[in-house]
Amino acid sequence: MRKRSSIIVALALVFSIGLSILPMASAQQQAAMETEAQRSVRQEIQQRRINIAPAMEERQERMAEQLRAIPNEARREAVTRISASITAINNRMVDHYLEVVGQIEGVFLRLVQRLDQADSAGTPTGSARDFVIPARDAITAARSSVTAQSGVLYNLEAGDDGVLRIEMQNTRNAFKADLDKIRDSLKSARSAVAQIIIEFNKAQPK
Amino acid sequence: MKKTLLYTLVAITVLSVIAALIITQIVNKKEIVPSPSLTEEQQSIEAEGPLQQEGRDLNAIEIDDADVEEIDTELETL
Repeated sequence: MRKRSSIIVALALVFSIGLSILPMASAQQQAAMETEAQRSVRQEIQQRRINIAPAMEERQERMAEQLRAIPNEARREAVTRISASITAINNRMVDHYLEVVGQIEGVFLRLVQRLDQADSAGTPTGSARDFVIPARDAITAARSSVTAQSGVLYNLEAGDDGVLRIEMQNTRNAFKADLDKIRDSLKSARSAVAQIIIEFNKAQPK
Repeated sequence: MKKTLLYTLVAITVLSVIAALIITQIVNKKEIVPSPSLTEEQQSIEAEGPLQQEGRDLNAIEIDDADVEEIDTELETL
């Protein structure tokens, strides 16, 4: 009798623990799906960062050499900080934008599943399917732009003291323009995915 | 004594099931209050229908603008 009670206790505990972690498992499964699609890109970005490290170091050494010709210490330090900021912001934004690609792709994959379910259930989907490939292409393009940005080295030449500010300003503008392009490609990807929903909604009976 | 133990376990199991169901509801239907500043496109994808949740999730994705303020501050010192 005691043995039977123990078995019941054990089964009840396993059952209740299993049910409690069910929602977490579902969330993890979704995350895993996103991670799977992003894994190779994340690895590629890591590799690119490793690959550009020697070139970056070489540029920093060259810049330090050039900076010796600038008499004002505050200016020398400002250039060094700008260089460090560009690297730090670039890494931060690449990570953020890659995360955004994953989120957009997550919604996209769910939408494709929902379209399949709608087809099976006989629910009208209108021309929503026509927008699946453009959305996928837009996500791929956005991801490529993020990947490419991870390997960009900005030209920080601390040349002539007189034009130092202009040179740094130009580098800053080029860097910002590159990041803005990626942001726009992400917005395009999000709009392309939104179009699937818009077309699906249009097909629904009012 | 054994019966009490059994009843307790049944109660724990039932409560766990209820808790799991509540958590599932929270995870799947996390309420995102639509902002009045939504664009026409954003509003149309959040329209009531089978894909409303996907529309909300898509709108909730934040694409940050690159903040280069720290560079601009340094540029001023040059």
